[in-house]
Amino acid sequence: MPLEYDLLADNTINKSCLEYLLIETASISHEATVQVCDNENVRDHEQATASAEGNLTEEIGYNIGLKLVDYLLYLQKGKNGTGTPKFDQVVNIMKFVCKNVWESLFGRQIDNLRTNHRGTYVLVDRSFTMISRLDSPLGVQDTLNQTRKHYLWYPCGIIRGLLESLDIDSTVQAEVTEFPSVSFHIQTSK
Amino acid sequence: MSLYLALIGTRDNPLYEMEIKMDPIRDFCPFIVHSALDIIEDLQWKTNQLYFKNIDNYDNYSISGYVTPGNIKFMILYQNLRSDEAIRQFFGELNDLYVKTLLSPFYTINEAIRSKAFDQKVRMLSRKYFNL
Repeated sequence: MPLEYDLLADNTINKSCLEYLLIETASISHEATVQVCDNENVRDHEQATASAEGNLTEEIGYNIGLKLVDYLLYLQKGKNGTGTPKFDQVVNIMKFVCKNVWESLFGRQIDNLRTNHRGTYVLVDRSFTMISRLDSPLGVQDTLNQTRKHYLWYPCGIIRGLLESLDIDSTVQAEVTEFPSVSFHIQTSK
Repeated sequence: MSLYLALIGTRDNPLYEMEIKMDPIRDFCPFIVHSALDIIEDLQWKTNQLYFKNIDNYDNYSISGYVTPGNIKFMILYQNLRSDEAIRQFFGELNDLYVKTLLSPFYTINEAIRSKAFDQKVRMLSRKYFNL
C-alpha cells in the first residue's frame, strides 16, 4: 500500500530547503572571508577569518530577528489590536522565543529554559534541526568542531535581533557539547 | 474632513507621512503629532492594547494612535471623523501593510518607507474607511 503524505502541507520541502540553504551560507561565508583576508594580507589569518565569517552569518540572522516580532505577532492574532502577549518581563520574552519563535522557524519548541534571574538565560534544544543532520566523515569530534565554527552563528543572530527589536541589548553564544543538543547562552543587560 | 497620518519609528523618526486637506494647520502637523508621542509612550506600558483612541486634542483636531508590537507608532491627526471603529480597522489594515513592507529583504527597520505602492495602498485605505 503506497505511503501517502502531503509533502507541501507539512512543510517538509520548505524546511529541507532552508536547511540546505543555511549550510551553503556557512560554507560560502567561510570562502568569502578567506578570500578577503587573503587579498588584504591580514596578519593573523586564521583568527581573522574565524571571527569575520561568524559575523557575516550572524548579521544575516540579526536582520531577520529584527523583523520577526512584528511578523509573528501579526500572524498570531486578529488585526484589531486585541492586545499583545505581556512582554513586561524579560522572562516572558524568553518564553515567547522558546515557544513561538522556535516553533515557527524550526518546527519544534526549545526543551529547556534556565535563568539566574539576573540577566543570564540558557536555552537548551536537545535536537537542533539545523545541525542534526550534519555528519563529518572524519568522525564525531570533527563534526562538533565544524559545527562550533560555522553553523551556530545564524540562530545566535536571530535571537540577538529579536531581543534588540524588543529593546534588550544582549550577547548570544551557542555551545554544542553533545551532538545534536545545542545550548544558547544569552546575557542581557536587564 | 481632514486627515494627517504619520508612521513613527523607534527613534522618533518619521517613516511615512500622508496628509489630506489639512490646509489651515499644515505646517504644524508634525509638531503636534510629535508632542502626542510622549502621551502614547506613557500609555503603552500600562495596557496591553494596541489602539489608543483620542489621546490628545489641539483646537478641535483629535489625535489617535496605534502601537505595533515592534514599537512603531501610527498616529492620526484628524478633524470630524465620525467613527472610532473605522479608525481602528484602518490601523489594523495599516499594520498588515507595514508587516508586508517589513518582509522585504531590502527594507531595514527604521528606514523611511518610500515605496509608491505603499503610498497608493494607504490612500486607497483612507478612501475606503474615511471616504476621503
